[in-house]
Amino acid sequence: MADPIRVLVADDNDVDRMLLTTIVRKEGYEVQEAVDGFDALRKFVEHRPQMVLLDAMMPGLDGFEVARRIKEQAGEEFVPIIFLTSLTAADELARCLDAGGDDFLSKPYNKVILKAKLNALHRMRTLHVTMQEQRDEISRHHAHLIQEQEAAKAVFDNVAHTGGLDVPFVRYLISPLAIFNGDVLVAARNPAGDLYVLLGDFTGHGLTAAIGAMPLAEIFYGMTQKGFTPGEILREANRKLLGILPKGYFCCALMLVFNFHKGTVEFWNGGLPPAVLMRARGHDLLHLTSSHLPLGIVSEERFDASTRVLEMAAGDRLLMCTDGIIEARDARGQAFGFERFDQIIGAAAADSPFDRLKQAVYRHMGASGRDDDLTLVEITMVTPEQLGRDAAPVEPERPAGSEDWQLSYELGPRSLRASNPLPLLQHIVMEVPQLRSHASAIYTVLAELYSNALEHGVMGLDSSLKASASGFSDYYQARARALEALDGFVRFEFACQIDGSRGSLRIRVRDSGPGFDHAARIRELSLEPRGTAYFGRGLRLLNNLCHSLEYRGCGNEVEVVFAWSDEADGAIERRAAR
Amino acid sequence: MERLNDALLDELRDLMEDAFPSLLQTYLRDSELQFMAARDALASGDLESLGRCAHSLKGASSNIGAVQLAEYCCELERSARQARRERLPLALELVSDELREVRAAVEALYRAC
Amino acid sequence: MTIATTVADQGEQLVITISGRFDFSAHQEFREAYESIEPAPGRYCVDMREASYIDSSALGMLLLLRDYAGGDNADVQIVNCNPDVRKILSISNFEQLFTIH
Repeated sequence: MADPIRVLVADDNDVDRMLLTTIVRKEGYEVQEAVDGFDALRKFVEHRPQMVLLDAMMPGLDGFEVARRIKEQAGEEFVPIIFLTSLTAADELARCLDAGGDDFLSKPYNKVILKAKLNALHRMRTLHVTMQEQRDEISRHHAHLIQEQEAAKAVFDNVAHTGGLDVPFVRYLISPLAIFNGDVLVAARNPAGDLYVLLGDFTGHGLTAAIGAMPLAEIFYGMTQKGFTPGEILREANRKLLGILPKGYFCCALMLVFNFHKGTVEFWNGGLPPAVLMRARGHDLLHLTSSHLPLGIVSEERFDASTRVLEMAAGDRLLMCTDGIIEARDARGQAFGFERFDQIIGAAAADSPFDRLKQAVYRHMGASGRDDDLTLVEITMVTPEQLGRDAAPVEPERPAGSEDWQLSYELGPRSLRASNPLPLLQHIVMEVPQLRSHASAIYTVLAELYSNALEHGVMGLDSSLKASASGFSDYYQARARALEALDGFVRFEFACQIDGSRGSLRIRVRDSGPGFDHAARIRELSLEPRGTAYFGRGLRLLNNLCHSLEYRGCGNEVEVVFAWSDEADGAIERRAAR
Repeated sequence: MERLNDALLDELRDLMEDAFPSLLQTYLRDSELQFMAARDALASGDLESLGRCAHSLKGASSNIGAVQLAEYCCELERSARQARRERLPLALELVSDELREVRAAVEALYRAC
Repeated sequence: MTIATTVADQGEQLVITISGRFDFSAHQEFREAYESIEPAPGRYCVDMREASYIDSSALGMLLLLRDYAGGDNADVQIVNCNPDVRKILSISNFEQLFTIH
């Protein structure tokens, strides 16, 4: 049996104290008696009773003062006090409560009532003790959880950190433990130097979100570095998440690819709030709204990975957030909302609205705010020159590799529709050690050649559609339709020659299309001032990157030569290193 | 009105068992002390002490079922606290007379134990 | 938040009416609302007339209902959404999975 509960009975009147002591003892409690206020305090400290019966009117120290001091002594522990009183005036009773009394008992004492009160207060005390234990346990658990989250965060950083976000034109706010609130932000460069950014928001909190974030980051980094398209990365991420997330859990995501050479942003939004594109010139805001299901909901066959491309000039800014910001609530429960988000961006003119947005959200939430769920990103478009040469990874070591070889690679209609040859071709070309420091340029060349052959050659799309901003998006819609119906081929031929410190890679691309008047086109391009047209940038880029560029036949065949020499490379590397 | 509430006394007897005579004895001693202290307090004009004595005697009396006496004590306590000096001699006399009767009844009970 | 169910069309359709905030706290109740109906009806209708708000875990619950009702072959309608609820559903493009009126 448990130890009896100790009750202190403090009453200066002998008869009353005798009666009470008898009643309480008969109920199975252990009783300590005190004959006045000072005695009561002494006995309390000495015996630590769990409940106290206290006469309000005692000589010396009265009951009110004793109650106050007992509660002070008890600290966090709940020691119920029953006042013994024949006081009936409301203000006297209020004084008892103010002093910390939990109940009253009036004279003449009634055994039944006292018994009931003792039992009730004992239950209350037990409940209080249980609650305190649970609270302490929760706070222990919480501390433990925080510790584990920090450990898991370190693991996640090892998987995910590549520093892709640490550039001056990207600003972001993300809670250090956001991964456990389901927010993921990753960024990396593909071989051509394009910046890939993925912002994800998993449903649910805690482990489910964290578990999904790992493979998502791995797929993103692995495939981006290998040169896969955003569509391919999204497909793979969707497939993976569908497999590992429990039913009913998913990941809202926004994928962005910034091409600094062409001045474009390609995007796919599945379930995140619209990203907002603000122009450096002009006040119109463009919304990159969600037009897809989030990742991890539908099967591969039903998954739509089609992206849209928008023109983005240097100085244009793109702002994106997860719904933590849109849903941030003020004291009255009012959400921050899309309108406020837009308004602040709209009012920013050409300046960065990042700080203002951040402050506005914090102000909105006021003191009640938690910043756990707030993820905000701003990316400003820069020119390739601003971007600098440190964009692509450089591998200085030169292990032995292929020295002279030729390769022909032809894609038929099904391959053209379903696959992207660039990662494979890039991989093969990178077998040439001398070409590894040119990975970014090579990839860009391959990508331009391929998209020209596919889009203008095989599919016959008219690039002059891109001459206006609206045509620009029409073009990409037409491209998606044409891809469905396409027939034909694209053939790559590579020839590599290495002679001592010099070498050249000849790439010839032939497509099944009717060709075009290349002579006229090249004349036109040489007349247009640089950068004013929405099209023709691809050709210019090729011309700049390659040693030579030549169209053949009716225009359905093009040959470029990429040449290098170690002396020139050395100079460039030394400059880059500075 | 009856001097002592019989039903309440029966309950006390049940509750206290062997200690019942001791309870009665304690009341006899305590009530005597409180009353003398009250009388002295009135004589010296110490109304606060008078009120406290009346309060104490009231509580003990109500607990042993001396209902009428508890009421007189209550009246005495109230008059003392309100400092209505003109009423105090009469109030104390009412307590004194009733207390004498109650004590006689309690003593009889004690002897019968 | 409360959830009420009515069976309509001679047992062919189950109407689940949501009131108040439709969020994670509704998880158990929402599941019981359709899992407890025997035999399972062919069509489901989630009535949002009284729903003031939904969050992403509610979207997850709708996906679970869709899965329970036959996945890609499910006939699940979501009706009477207020503009806020409608916005959340359309940001996630749930029109592609549910019939939304």
